Order: sequence, then structure tokens, then C-alpha cells
Amino acid sequence: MLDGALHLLRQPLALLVILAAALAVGLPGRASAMAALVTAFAAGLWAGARLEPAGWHAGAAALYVTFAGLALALDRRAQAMPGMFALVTASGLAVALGANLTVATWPELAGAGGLACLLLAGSGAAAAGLRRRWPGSGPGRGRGLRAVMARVAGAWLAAIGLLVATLALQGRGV
Amino acid sequence: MIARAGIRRVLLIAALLGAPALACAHDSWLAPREGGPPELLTLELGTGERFPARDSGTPAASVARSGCRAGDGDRRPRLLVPHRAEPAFLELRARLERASGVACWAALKPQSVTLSDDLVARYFAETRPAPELVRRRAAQRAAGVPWRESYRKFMRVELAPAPASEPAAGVLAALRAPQGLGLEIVPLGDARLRAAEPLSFQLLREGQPVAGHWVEWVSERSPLGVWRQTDAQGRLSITLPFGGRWLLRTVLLEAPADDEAPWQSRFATLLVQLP
Repeated sequence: MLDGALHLLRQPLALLVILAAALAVGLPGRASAMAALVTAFAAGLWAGARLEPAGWHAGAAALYVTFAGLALALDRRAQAMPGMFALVTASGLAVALGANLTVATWPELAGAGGLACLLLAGSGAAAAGLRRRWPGSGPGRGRGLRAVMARVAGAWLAAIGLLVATLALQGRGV
Repeated sequence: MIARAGIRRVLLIAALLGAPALACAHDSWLAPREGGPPELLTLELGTGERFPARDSGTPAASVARSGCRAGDGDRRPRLLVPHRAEPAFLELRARLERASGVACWAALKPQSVTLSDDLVARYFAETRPAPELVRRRAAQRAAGVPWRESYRKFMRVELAPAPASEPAAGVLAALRAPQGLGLEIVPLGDARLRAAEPLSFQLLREGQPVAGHWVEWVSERSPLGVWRQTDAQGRLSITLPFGGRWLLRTVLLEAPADDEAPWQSRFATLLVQLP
């Protein structure tokens, strides 16, 4: 299990996906909603780990980061619960592909998946905490600033995802 | 006649077991890791001066292509995924069962190196290039041209089916199908590889036979190698004296068109386990 957890920490692409998912998980601010989102993430991760290994996985995970970043930055539907569920489930799948968990042993998968869920829950809670403590938060100025912050974070994620996807898609074959 | 063959075999075994180690060009090879879950195949890609000692690993980003084929009836090539880089090897994994036999391959991206004249002399002694290449290098050296080389590495490994299972006709031959690598050594035939029996291999460059080229067999139990030269069809035959892991290794050198360009080389290895 420790091997799996350490393996995840050495996968920048997977950590990037978790960051994208944390932006979504922190949005509702309610513990029950966050727990449901983390469960959806774990389900996506498990499904991704059962896929057959393929050369396009890292590129797909990186492109997903770009998509998630753009969705968070530009589309309000991504900030509604159904959109967030879709986003975090796909994030779990992308973590499995980005971290090569398709060839992990069961203990490694448990270690990597457990740490991924912990990181997601922790960073999501931190994001929710920041939202609550945001100076001037309320219906007026705070909401506007939060929207700008979400767009800036999403745009950065999209740019980094595009860069990583370019590197990943440079080509590996069987 | 039989007694003479027996004496030659005993002498070969004695020489292999007692010979001093030779330092050699850095080969890379794929070796299986034993244990682990049956549905996962784990290989270690290591590099060293002399098989089986490894002195460095390979970054995952250096792998240009890698794959496996299993003897389980599913003829599709499976992806061999770089999983973890350790100081002495790169761990690669494929999701397949090895009980019915497996063949895997990997090709690394080109790398460049500059060598001193002393190291080039040793390199030549340990790779046996063609005489015209030796003369070309001597001329370069006389003109003060430094050795610059761009090299690529290709490796294969064949894991035999479990002793209890007898592979169906054609299974092993399918595993041994060439993969079109820049340089590869493939076993010939459809029979299990065994010590003390005649074995045949073929050296291929992008699928085409390489004639008149030297290939060395190195055992994990002996530092001394056994050299053979390929025939006109790129084939080699040998009867290896004892079992265990054997590495077949060769380096194909190509002289540059002019002295400004680097030499091109292709390293190829094949690891087999003989019962």
C-alpha cells in the first residue's frame, strides 16, 4: 500500500487532476455533498484502473485536465451538482490513467486510491474553508472575486493540461 | 568422436566458469521479476557493463516503444508500461499471464555519447566491428577526429511457458515473430529453448537479416562470452552448455558519411532462460 501511495506522489499529472477535482469538490461547502463527490471520484478511479493499459492514457488524462480547467473557468453548469459529479467521476478515471494504475497490484491500488481520496477531501475542504473566510464574502463583492478566482485557476489548469498533453502525445507505441 | 565432443564441452564449461571478467560496452536488457500477482508481468530494464550486473537505470521518458505478446491465444500485442524508475533499473509492467509463455520488447530513444580514444579501442575490442569500420576509425584517429556516436538500444526477452504446460503448435513461433525493431535477435523455430540442444537465432535489422555480424552469448553464471558470426541469412546456431539466464548481445556500428557526423550504432539484446 505504501508503494502505491508513494507512486501516486511521483505522478505530477495525477496530482494535477486531483487539483482540478478539488476545485469542484470545494464548491458546495457542505460535508455531505463533499463526501458524495469524493465517493464518485473513488468510483471513477476504480473503473479507470480496470481498463486495459494503452499508450493514449497519459495524453487523455492531460487533455482531461485542460477540459476540466476550461469547464471550471467558463461554464457555470460545471459548478452545479450534476456537473460536479460528472467532473469528479471523470477526474478519478483520469487519475487512474495518468498514474498508470491500470498495471497496479491491488495493495498498490488501495494505497494510491486511498491517498488520492484523502488529498482530494483535504484540498476540497481547504478550498471550502477559504471560500467561507473570504473577506467580504456574501452576495456582493465576494461572489464576484470568487468567480474571478475560479476562472483564473481554471485557465491555469487548462494551460498546464495543454502543455502536458503535448508532451504526453509525442508518442509511445507498442 | 563422442568422447572428443564431451571433452570440448567440459573445456568450454571450465573456461566459462573460470574466466576473468571483461569490461564491455554498456548493454541494456529486459529481465523478468519473479513473484507478484499472476495477472501482472513485471520486467526490469537494466543497463550494465557486463550481464548480469546492472549499474544504472533508464528514465521512463527514454522508452520509445515497448510491448509484449502472450501465448494465451490472444495475439494482440499488449502495452508494456514504464511503472517506476529505480536507481539500478526501470520497472515495466504488462497486464498478462506468463504461464503460457511471453515475449516482450522495448526500444529506447536515440542518445549521444563522446568517447576517448582509449575507450573506443576497448569498445571495438568488445563489439567486434567489421574490418572496414576499424580502418575508418584509424583514419579518423590519425586525423584527430574525436569519437562522437549516436546510439539506439533495442531489447527483447522470451519467457518460456510453465514447465507443466505444453504449448500448442505455432504458439512459440508466434511469440518469436520479429517486431520490426531497429535491430533484434529472435529465436527460430517452435520448440522450447533448452541447454545442451542445438538452438538457432536470427539477427534482423528492421526485419531484414544482417549477414556476417558477430553476436555474443553471455551467461549469468560466467563472465566469459561465446561469440558466433551470422551466416548469409543472419542466422546463428549454437548448443549452450548449461541452463540459466543467457543474454545474447550485439552492436551494429555504421560509419558516418563524413567526419563531421557522428557514428551510428544499434545495440540489441535478447534474454532467454534455459532449463
